[in-house]
Amino acid sequence: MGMVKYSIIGLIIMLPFFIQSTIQNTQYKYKERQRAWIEQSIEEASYDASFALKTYSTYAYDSQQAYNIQIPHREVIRNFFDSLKFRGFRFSLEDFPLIAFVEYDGIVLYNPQEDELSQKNFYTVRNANNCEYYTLSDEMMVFSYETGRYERRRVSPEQRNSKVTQSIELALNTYQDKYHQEQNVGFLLPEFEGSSSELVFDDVGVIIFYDPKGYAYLDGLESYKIVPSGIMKMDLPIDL
Amino acid sequence: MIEDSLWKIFGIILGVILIFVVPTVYSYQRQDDIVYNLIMTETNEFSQKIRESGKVNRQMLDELNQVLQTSGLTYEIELEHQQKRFSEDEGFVEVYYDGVYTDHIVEWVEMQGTYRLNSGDFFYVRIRNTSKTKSQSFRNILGIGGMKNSEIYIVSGGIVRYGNG
Repeated sequence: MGMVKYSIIGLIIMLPFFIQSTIQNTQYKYKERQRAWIEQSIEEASYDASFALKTYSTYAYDSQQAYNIQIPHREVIRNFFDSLKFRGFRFSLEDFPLIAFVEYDGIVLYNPQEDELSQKNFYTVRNANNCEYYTLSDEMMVFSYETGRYERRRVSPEQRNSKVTQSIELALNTYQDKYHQEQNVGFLLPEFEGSSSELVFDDVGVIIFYDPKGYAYLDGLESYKIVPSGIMKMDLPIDL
Repeated sequence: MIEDSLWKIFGIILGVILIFVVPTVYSYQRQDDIVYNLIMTETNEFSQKIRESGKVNRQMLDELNQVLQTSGLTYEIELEHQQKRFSEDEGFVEVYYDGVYTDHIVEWVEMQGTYRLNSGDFFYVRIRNTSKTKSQSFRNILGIGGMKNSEIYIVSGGIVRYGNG
């Protein structure tokens, strides 16, 4: 009889641990589902924004910039937020501190809280004698301060990626410093996650930054999505 | 003597709980997870198909219903189509959306065969279980039902990528 008693007492001691582990497993399951829901909602909305970018952008010609892509920034932004809204995803504008447009020749930043689009930051590198203008194509322009002339040069994809990424990071860091001072908060940029060397910006697209603080109970939520639109991959009648 | 009997009864009850109840609860929870994943995959595929083709037809709805039936539960399916519309006000063009919902879409499919969407519209499908899953029922019997009415609630959709009304 003693054996039965001790077995039962042992089981009773084990029971709270077992119940606790079951509760934790269930909580973890629902947390993972919620995280998947947040990630999926933002990802789908980002793809919807990039679809709008590809669909509603137009091609124009002007004597200064030759052929260029005109991006309907407001339409892209509206599609992004509409997608979240119709899905039933609860959000505030504070959850999305920045939306960046990676354009053909520069980056444009949008602040959702102030509903403000920045001037375009061109992909440029200033040297002592000249200024290099990069684009997402394999050609760059070099402006000589001495002669005042532009010269076209071919660049390797590696050099282009590196310079374009540097320009984008510079624009984002400048924005972050300003944002940090105003809001007393910052947000993670790609370079801080040690992945900048792996980034390849070779297409017009959007970067959606979101603030995981709003979902603080979810660990490991990434803070940005980079979505290329596919514009540069389109079979266009013009040479971009 | 009575004390020994009580210990034995208590031991039997505990044994039954550990040998039968616990594995059953676990097995039902795993079944729920499998059903959840199955329904999520199917819902995503269904909404993807509609957004890529720009149409809803009887075959698509039947396929979805068939998969839902295989899970042995009943579901409430909500379809939502947000049609993109334009209004002009003093030279400014504004975008707004007209919502068309399940009843109208299903009725249209039954009458006309195919319900068409336009590129740039939004389409969503929401699925929730209306009958209780096995694990929900079991937990209710044990009195640990929890607060959730629907164990399965899935939303899928987004912008319509192809369509010509």
